[in-house]
Amino acid sequence: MKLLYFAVLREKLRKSEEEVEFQGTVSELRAFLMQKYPELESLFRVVRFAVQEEYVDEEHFLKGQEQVAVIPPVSGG
Amino acid sequence: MLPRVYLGVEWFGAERILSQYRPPKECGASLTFLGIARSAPEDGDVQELHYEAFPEMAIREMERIREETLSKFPVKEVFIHHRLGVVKVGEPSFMVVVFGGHREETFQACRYAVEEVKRRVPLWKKEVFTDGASRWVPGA
Repeated sequence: MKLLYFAVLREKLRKSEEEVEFQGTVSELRAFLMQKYPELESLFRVVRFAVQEEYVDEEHFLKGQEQVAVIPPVSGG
Repeated sequence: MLPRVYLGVEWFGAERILSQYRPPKECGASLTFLGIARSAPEDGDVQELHYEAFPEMAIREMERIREETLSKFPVKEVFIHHRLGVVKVGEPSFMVVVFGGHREETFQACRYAVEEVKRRVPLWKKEVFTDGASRWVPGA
């Protein structure tokens, strides 16, 4: 699947997107990313995820072909 | 035609909405909320804010918030605008304008739209200081 990164996450990872091999729930994707990037564990703990421009909850199942936006805590306004 | 929902580098301004939009005659109240780029003492010497979005999703989320506001409260029109890119301290970055029949639902609707934008629209701001340093504002 393709992951999209924004703002603080994009800067810390030094990339705005990446392809990963993953299938499972959003909750499992979170754990996968916390393990892949241990130095950013605290940030991945609080991100939200979106598929097709809509937030998805922790139980949402990802088949592996999606584009998933990884959304750090928002600070608009 | 003024966009009801807008996200981008332009700024239409509350004045233009208030002078160009003709509310339905049953409207007895209008409320404008402006978010302004600030430099609070605890933040250091902020010169400007840089706003970034996941634009495709942000605009959809702003449209959903507008529709929710119109269905939850008996108000007649809602404008939600947010700037992207560089905003100097003292300049507005975010605006919600609501037109309703009476003040009570107009206050409630405006508050709802403002809070929901701050809570869930994928937008981020970075503070840029006078010495050139910068930091992402911790979000909610």
